[in-house]
Amino acid sequence: MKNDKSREEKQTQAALYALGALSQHEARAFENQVREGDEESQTELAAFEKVVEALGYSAPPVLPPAYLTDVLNTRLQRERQQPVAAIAPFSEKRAVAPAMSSPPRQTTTSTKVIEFKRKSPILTFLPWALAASLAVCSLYTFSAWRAAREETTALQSQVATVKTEADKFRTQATQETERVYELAQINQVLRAPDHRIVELAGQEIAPTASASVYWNVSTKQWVVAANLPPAPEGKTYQLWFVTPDAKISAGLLKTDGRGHGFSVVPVPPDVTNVAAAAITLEPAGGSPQPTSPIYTMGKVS
Amino acid sequence: MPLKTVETQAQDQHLMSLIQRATTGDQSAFAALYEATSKVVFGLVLRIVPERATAEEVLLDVYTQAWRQANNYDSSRGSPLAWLMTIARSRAIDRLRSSRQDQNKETIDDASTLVSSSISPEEASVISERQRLVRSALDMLVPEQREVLELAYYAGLSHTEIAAKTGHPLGTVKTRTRLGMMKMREMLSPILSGQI
Repeated sequence: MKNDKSREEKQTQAALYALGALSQHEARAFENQVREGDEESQTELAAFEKVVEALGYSAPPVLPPAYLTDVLNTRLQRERQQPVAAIAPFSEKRAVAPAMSSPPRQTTTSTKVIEFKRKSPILTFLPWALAASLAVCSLYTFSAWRAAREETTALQSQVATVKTEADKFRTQATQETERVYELAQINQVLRAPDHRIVELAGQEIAPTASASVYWNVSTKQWVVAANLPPAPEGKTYQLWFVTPDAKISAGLLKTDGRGHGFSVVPVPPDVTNVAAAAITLEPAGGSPQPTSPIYTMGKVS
Repeated sequence: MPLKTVETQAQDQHLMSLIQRATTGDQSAFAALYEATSKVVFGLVLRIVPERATAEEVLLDVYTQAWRQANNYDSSRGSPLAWLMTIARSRAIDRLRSSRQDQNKETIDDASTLVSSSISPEEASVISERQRLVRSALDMLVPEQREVLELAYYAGLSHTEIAAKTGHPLGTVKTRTRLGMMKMREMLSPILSGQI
């Protein structure tokens, strides 16, 4: 008993540590324990760290905005250029630049400027010429900018139209891809020598609802395809393993706007003697036990 | 071996070779790694840090860190995507905790909403076998166990913070964490053993 309790405590600490849910003090204590050779804790920790890694797969994927690619590329470019030796600031360069033939003085790093006593005619006109050139360039740039901006606005409008059409085609393509995946999963079960099919019929509350469970007995997996009324907000469908003694949750079954739901569900090793499959409508997040009338049900033959 | 398993392993090999090339400074290889993985990573970041602009910053930080530390990736410890997601979760939780301190705002409720197992048509084309298995496994947990795991994983709460938030005794929180993680360990054995 004492050993079991100690093992449970180690598992608890390892699980909490892997999740990052221990306090700093407790985490340091656990680290010391592992470092001092507690192999049991080490083994438990290694296994739980793998679980935590896998939890990352639970969030639905989201496409990041396209502009982030450019921002990242710029950042990485800057990272690659950083090891290059920094160029000395302009003020230091001027202080050591030799104006005469004598060797430069290396002791100073001040920003003292060397003044010329006489100015040539070229140098008198040069600033004015530069200013005039700058004004001409600015005017040209502004005109070019305006023209480019108008063209950009027109292009953006076209892009928006094309994007809408592309989104439509993308949705259709994705639906087809999803359907291909579903059929592949079902075919896989049907090719297995030891498989069963459970057909679920609509019950009184949803007479047109239906579902099929393709049960791969050897791999202990249910492939479930359902057509149900769209779930109202705040509600979700839940699948059940029905045994003579209990109804055990087999997970949530979310449906799309058309009421179609698809899921691949592992059948736990300790769930035996399944007599039927059923689907109910539960509050979002599911329920430990069914709280609503059954929408579809089918018996295992 | 199921078709999807072969595809998943081939994807891992491909990502490993991109990381290897990135260690030599090959930015195009790293760009390909970003293209192949950013949807999944961004999904995880957004799940933890719901504020979009902040999540985008975190995503940039994740890949910048991955670029700098590509030499540290060890294939014996996990898949490339798992490595990226570990960095992502760490960065996202740090940002979440930092914003909680700065703003003294209760963001826990935003971060800890239950994981949906729904798969939209848009997601279906990129969902791998691993993702489906993990989502199914989470749905199989009793709600109380799922709740504590999500508060720890997505909201970055300690066990005492979870106890305070849920109103349950600390011992109960610890037990539910242990049982939930043990159950997940059992149900995710195909992933943990490297079969998929």
